[in-house]
Amino acid sequence: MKATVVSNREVSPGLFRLALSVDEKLLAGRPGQFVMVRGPWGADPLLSRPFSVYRYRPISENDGTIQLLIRRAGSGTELLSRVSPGDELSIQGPLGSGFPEVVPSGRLFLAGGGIGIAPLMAVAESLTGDLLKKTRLIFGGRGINDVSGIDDDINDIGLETVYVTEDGSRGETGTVVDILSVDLTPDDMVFACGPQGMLKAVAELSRKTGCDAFVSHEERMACGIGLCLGCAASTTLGAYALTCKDGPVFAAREIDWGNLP
Amino acid sequence: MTRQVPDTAVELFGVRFKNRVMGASGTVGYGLELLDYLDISRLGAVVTKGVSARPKLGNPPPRIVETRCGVLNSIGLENIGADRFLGEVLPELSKHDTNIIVNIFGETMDDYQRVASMFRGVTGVCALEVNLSCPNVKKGSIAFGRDPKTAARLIKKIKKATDRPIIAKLTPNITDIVPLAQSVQRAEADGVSLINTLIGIAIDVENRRPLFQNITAGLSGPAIKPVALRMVWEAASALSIPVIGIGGISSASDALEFIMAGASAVQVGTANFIDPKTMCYIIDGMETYMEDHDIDTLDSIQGIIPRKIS
Repeated sequence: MKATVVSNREVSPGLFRLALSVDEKLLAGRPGQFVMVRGPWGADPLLSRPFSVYRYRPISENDGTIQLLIRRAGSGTELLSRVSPGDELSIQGPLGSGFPEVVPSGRLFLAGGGIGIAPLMAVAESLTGDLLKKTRLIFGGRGINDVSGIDDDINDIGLETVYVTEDGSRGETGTVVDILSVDLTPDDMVFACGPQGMLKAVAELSRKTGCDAFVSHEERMACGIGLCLGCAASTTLGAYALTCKDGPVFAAREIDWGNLP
Repeated sequence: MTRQVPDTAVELFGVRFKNRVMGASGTVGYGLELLDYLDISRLGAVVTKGVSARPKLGNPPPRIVETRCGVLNSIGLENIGADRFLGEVLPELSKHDTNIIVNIFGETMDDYQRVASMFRGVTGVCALEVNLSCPNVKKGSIAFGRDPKTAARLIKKIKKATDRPIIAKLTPNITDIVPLAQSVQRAEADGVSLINTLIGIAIDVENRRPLFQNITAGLSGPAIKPVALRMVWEAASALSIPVIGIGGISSASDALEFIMAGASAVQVGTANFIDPKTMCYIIDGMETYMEDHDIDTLDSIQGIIPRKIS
């Protein structure tokens, strides 16, 4: 289906917030689900690009709009970073599993590393009442550039947020996992998205503390809809799961982290 | 005068296909995965993911690397096995009015024979496509498919085990396609399909490592179309059995090129990853071409490209 670009803003160097006017089906997507996006750029790059939905209810945009948060990294994101309002993109979605709709007896931690913050913001904006009050966002990266540009959205949602950077240039000094490990209890729950190393550490922490953790897993993907079997994720059951259909959100204990590089 | 509606149907090895466009093995799942995206009864056929007698795990990730105008894959023939396919998939898939071609493979010749025999007498399967060409597994497949004599021996063995027409899916990773194609024809293959992927490599220069654990992988997509077209042209010129053209087809014009090069039908592969409806657009586009050029049947342009320049 088609999506029209409503706005495209570089909110921090190399980080773009893309608002798209989409259909009802996509607007009804759940936090943690993703879309496959491509522009009218022919056969190079050939494949659509997967992005978790960043916001289903963006501030200062019209109804019927979703937002994606895009870090310019390769040829596809480079082209997407240059689209303008009115441009048409192809979009498929919502795809895959979302984060579970469960209420922990303890606190909910949303742990985002860099661009991994995207699906967690979709979770955050969906929270209300007590759950919103007992949820904390941990937003980490190597330096300030990794954790900048979306303060307006974080303020809009009104979540208690901890910033953490490895070089100390914003918030605490350290990693997302350092912050998370301070006082995690078995009643708490973690939703995480970020680099593999971070997710592996979250899985380990969840095993040690006995709290449930769900991670949004990333894998190279061709189709996003279960046709190619390309996005295999190693699981603890010995078989592969498809990141696109079985995931991208998995219980941390389902993933065989030992098989990941 | 009212124009006649063009006849898009074609009969190949005794099977009627409503049109000449099929979904290629490995790019349409088991067929059911397409249902959310298109009406599969529009397709000439669905060719399933390769099925083996026993389930197969496939290769560790990464399995996909994008290249310019193409994709390298190393899936490793992951599949649910023939028993689950027959029990869970086929009953659902058969509800749709399209031809089902099951792609089969094994590690040994006996494995191929075993999986072929599992489809004996099964209704709803119109033909078997024998994978002689997957480059991403250590045993079987391409190991049998590069040598004309070995390929012929395997085809003969499978013919004994099945009551269905068999299509030999050939590899392009050989010097000359003609002796291989002729050899499987002599072994009484009912048709050939080509090409499977071209073997390639991708290297991560930062880490100085190959991106795939198997080092090599199979290249598909628009990048391979001219090579596929040339090989289809060579094979079709040398064979009397139908040739099904595969390789980078993403538009009706691409498909028509293959027909003109001698293909009786085409399979659409990597284009499905971008949009599985591409197959429907190709079917529509071919029909429009027939109308615009007043062609009743594509037989009149099939193989119109001469074998040699006169």
